[in-house]
Amino acid sequence: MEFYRRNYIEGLFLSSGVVRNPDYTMERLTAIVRDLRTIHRFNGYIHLKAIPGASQELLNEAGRWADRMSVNIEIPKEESLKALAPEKDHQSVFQPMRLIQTGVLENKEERKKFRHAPRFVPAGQSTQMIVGATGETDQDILQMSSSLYKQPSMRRVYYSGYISVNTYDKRLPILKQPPLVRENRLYQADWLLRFYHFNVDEIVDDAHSHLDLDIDPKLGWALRHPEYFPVDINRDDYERILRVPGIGTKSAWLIVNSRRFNHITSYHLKKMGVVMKKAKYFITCGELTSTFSQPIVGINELHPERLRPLLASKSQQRRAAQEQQLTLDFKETE
Amino acid sequence: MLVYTFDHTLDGVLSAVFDAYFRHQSPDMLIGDGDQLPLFCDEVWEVITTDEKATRVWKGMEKHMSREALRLISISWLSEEKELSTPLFHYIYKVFQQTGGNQCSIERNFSDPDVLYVTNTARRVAHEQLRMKQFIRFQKRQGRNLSGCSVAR
Repeated sequence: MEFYRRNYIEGLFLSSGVVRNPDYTMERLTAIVRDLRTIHRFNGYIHLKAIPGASQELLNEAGRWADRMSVNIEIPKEESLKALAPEKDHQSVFQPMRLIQTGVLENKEERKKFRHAPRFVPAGQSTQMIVGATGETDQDILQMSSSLYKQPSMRRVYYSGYISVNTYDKRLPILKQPPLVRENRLYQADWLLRFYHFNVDEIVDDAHSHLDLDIDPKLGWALRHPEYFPVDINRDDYERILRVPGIGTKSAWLIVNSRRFNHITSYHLKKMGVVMKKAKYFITCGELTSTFSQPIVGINELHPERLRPLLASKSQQRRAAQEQQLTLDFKETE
Repeated sequence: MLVYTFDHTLDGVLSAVFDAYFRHQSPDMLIGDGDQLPLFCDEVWEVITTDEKATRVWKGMEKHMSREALRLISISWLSEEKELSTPLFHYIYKVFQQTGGNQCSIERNFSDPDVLYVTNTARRVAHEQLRMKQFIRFQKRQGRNLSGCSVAR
């Protein structure tokens, strides 16, 4: 509270391990939130971690005071969860989620009719998954995320890399460092699902069930589907332009808005902030050549296998070069 | 090359637009009073800033542009950048040049370098404002971390 009064923080995050049983813990959490709001007059953002298995009344009560509630699905697959923690199950997680969702939707309806109806979890809900603790593929994780995002009240899914703490438990892997690159790629794929209108089957499918660690998911999709390109910047619609690697939502919006006035050339694209190094292979602006795009070398002229090493980062290029180079072992002869 | 000079205020820019249309001229650059003139300028005209000119231009802009675009223009001026004056001047000049039949005002034409520059500057100012708010929460005072001044929230 001191921090809040001194303007350090604008919000806080309230979480707890299970003490005794879920309902007891939930009751104590609810009491804390209620006190914060009423007695201490904390008006900042409160993110409450709900305990799986809590009852409906407690969730309703907590929802009146908190801004966002989360219930963590730690492990995407039910079997792995049972192997690690037999007393937990997915149902105890999905049940509170559903309750929160119905609460949010009912509250929205009520607030349409009555202006001063009390709010229930205005910021929606989120959840978290642990990456790297058990053997799921990225496909399982992303399919779970995608089905969660179809729910209207789910705002975000967080992915947390597994940090190995104990060595004596045989069920958990011993990792030297948490899987940061994999976590990063998962977040990129998550962004694709939410903002770039991708379907989860396009990012990962049975043949490629793990995300590529070397290149980002959007570029991976583009290299697998060269028949989709080249995208004509001046004619194609917003969805198609979004799919080009190197063009983000902001650049796509700028392009679509400027098309009414002018023919867009690669000079304009560069000024708008498109990453021409990646995008030039996938788009066509209706010009022969310019300083920013090579004479027509699209992805269909330059095959994906040859394009991929060009677009890899410097460190990866060095690594690939090292692997190709044979090393001679000069040993001291006796 | 035709150069207008103004007094480093937003009202000055608006008065410059007024003068340009009044004298039926189309200047190439807009420079502040004390600044260095470019190499090949033939004519230099000094803009007198008056409230009346500025308000007339601003009211005219309100008719042609959305509120968002007006807000972006004011915010971009807060960046206090010297190089902003010429693109901003050209942007406002073009607002009045567009024909009435166009359904979309020029504020959305990001292929125009002036519009793009002004919009990007406004975006950078907005980011800076957020950073500033986050930053002045923690100010080192006498070696301890205390919050800074009382920020109106």
